[in-house]
Amino acid sequence: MNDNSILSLILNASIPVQIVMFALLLASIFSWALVYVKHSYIRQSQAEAKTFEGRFWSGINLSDLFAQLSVRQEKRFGLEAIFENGFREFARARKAELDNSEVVRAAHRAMKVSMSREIEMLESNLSFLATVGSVSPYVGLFGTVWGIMESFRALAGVQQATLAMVAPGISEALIATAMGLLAAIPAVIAYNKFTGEIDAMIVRYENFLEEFTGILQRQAQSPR
Amino acid sequence: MLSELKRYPGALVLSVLLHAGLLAIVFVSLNFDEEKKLINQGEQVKTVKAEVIDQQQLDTAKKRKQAEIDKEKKAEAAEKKRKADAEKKKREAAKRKTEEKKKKQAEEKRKKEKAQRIADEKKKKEAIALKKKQEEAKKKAEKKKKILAETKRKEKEKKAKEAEAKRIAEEKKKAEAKRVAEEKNKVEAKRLAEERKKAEAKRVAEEKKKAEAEKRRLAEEEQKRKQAELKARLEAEESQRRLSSLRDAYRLAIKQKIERNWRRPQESGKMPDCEVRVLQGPGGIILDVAFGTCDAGTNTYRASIENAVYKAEPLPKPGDPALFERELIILFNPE
Repeated sequence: MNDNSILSLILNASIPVQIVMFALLLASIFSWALVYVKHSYIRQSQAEAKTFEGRFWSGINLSDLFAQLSVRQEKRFGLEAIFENGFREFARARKAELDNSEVVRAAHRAMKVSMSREIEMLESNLSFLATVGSVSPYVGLFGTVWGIMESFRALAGVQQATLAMVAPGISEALIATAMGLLAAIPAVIAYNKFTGEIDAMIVRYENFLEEFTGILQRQAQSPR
Repeated sequence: MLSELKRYPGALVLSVLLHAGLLAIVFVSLNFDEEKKLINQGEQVKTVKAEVIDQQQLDTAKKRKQAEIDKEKKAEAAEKKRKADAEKKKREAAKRKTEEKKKKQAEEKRKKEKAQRIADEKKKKEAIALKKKQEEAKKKAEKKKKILAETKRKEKEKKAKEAEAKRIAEEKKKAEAKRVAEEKNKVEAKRLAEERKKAEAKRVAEEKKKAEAEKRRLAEEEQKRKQAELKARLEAEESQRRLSSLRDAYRLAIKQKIERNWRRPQESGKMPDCEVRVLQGPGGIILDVAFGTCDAGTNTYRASIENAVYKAEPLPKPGDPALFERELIILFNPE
């Protein structure tokens, strides 16, 4: 009983509590890995949007910009993808000699689709962080309750119950709650941060989409 | 989720490492605390035991010690007394012995002196006779010795003279050799000193040369740097001037195009100068037109200006893409 380091507490815990603790450890590991992935992806999208907006508003001819983008081999994402899909649709509709409003509407539709795809990429797996953040305290609590239950059941056969008989079991059980909180807190913080950043990105995409639609409308009105 | 994590395998590894580090820190710090606690407990137990033993044996130990001290004291006193008695006896016995010895010695002395006196007288007579004989022999021997010594002295003097001559000759030789060597040395030293001087002068001259070259190099570099700076500044000014002239041309072109497209409205009321804000997109597409200060203008006048702006689409391109302005502010005057 003298040796009450955390390691021995974990090793001495009962099997259900150990399973709970292992699950919480896994959840924590995966949520941290996801935090890293999401963080780098959002940073990348922000940088891409910034550079693309700079190029777009630099006064370059739109068809030149489109040609430059389509020459490049790597996969496009973010604003580049939205612009490329919209402009391609616009060019195709104009070639098909559609009505002016019809041309603009087609381009707008294409861009909407592309944008929602981008948003989906940004938001993917974010729900895992939310789940870990909200559920892992409960899971940890379950482990604790189970551990305390066991330690009380061991008391049942004893005539004179002392605090020294219950205390190790309870502290062993409380480790599960600590681990649950340890997994949940970073996950919640990261989730809130990412949703804020993704909302800002969505607003940015929508603004660009509307502005670009306006430009396309003007171009559609000019003679072919 | 797994597919996304597969694309970044480093992320999972990083996360696992993070957790392992965290766990290691927690375990290490907790174990360390515990060891400390254990050590402290051990020390306390020891001190308590020691106290108990002392109190139990205190009285008996004291008594025993006292008794031992008393015994030792008594024994010491007895020993002292015994020693003193023995010494006294010894001293008395020694005294008696010495007195007896003295008496015997005095008697022997007296006898000896008598015999001596008789013997002395005999000896004296014999000695006188012997002395006479010896003196005669001595005189003879001395004469012989003198003659021998004389011849020996003469020989020695001869030898000494020869040796002296030899020595002087050698010294002369040596002195000569020394003088020659010294002269040689002097010449050598002079030569060396001159060489050193020459080398020193050469070195100083070289250093001077080097310093001058360094100075010249630095001066040249400084000049070059200055020239480069001047050039860069001139170029920057040139490009600045070019850009600003291009910008002026760009603005003028836009303004002129808008004014060309303007048609005077039929009801000609007041037509003051108007500030027009034009928002343009890539390729000179007009996105928005707004009016700044345009106080007295009528609605038809404003509409005519707006019309002119839209007719001027696409707006002319600037000479340099860097000069493209998204928002243009144009001061429109009808004349």
